[in-house]
Amino acid sequence: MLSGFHDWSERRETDYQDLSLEMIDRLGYKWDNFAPTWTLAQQVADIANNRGDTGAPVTNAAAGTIYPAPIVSADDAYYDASWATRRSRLPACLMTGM
Amino acid sequence: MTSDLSVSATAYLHENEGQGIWFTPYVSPFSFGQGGPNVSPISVRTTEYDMNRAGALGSATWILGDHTIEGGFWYEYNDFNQDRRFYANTRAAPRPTLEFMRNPFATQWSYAYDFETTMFYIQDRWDVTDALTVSGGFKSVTVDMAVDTNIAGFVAPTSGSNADLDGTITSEDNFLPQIGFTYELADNSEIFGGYTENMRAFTLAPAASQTQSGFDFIKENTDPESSKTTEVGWRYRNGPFQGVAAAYYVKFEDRLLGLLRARASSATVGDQERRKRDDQGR
Repeated sequence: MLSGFHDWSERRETDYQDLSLEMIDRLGYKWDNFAPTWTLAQQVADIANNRGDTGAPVTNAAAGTIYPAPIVSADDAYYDASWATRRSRLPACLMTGM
Repeated sequence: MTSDLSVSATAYLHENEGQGIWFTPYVSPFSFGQGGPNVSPISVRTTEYDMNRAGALGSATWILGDHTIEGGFWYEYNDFNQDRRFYANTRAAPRPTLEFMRNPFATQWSYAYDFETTMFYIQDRWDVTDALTVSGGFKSVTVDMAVDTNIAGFVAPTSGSNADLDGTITSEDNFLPQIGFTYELADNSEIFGGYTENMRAFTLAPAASQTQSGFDFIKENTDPESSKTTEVGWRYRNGPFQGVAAAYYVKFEDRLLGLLRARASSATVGDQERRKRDDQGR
């Protein structure tokens, strides 16, 4: 007898930003990463680079060096972080004889 | 073939790929000569793996009087890769966050692993009387893990240098016995017992974040973890009630502990005993 199997799974998820107690006090319980607001994420990255907070080169000096309130750090939020995608495929065949 | 002999064979493939992502302002394409007026200072950092394994299982069972004799094998080849990569975005739009990232502008580290697993076993179940069944057998296991460094510290390491980790670590035990019995006290009541020896093959840990000298040291000074388990117990069923009371004693040998010093390493920290009694009913 011959049997065939095919197991398949795909998982996509977006993670919440890690919050410290200080961040919850300052930013609130509902604080999270910037996605889908790409412009704000880039504005904060530009300011962080201009301030020397990231070590990455300055590419938009016009953004200045003052974070928009209530942000005080390049680590308050990122654009996004996740275990974005995991995909698994498992085909198998089983043969039995008597 | 007669009705006393049956055989079974299974072949399988398994592909599994995953990426953990972080949109980071700390690593910029501009630092890698990949900048431009439309390039965003934010890149996507991934921790990604890609596994492709193929294997086969086979067994044959022979019924001979009161004995049921079974022998079999398992073979698997696992091609496993782990990488840390960076992907660029444009000023206009970020990459879709829930799609696989492709075409990186930089790779911080990349390791290729190959796992080869070979296992044989043979066992006999002997129905001594209607109430008493005794079983025994052993397995032989070998797992070879080979590691090769593609990229370390954003560059392909100089061949033969300490950063160019390349090697194989083997976990092998050719005699891992298991014996057991069940004895039926009544239709709804049974006592059981067993003794099992087992081994946990080395995984990625001896090679993770290692140099050649660190890997060689671990290979020279550690053994795979192993265990010897003895257990006895009683099962009981009455109407909707099922219960089991069991006690077990496990002797672990060569327990491994990961230590973080100037760099990561593994050390054998010795043996451990574990005793417990489980009583549960539902």
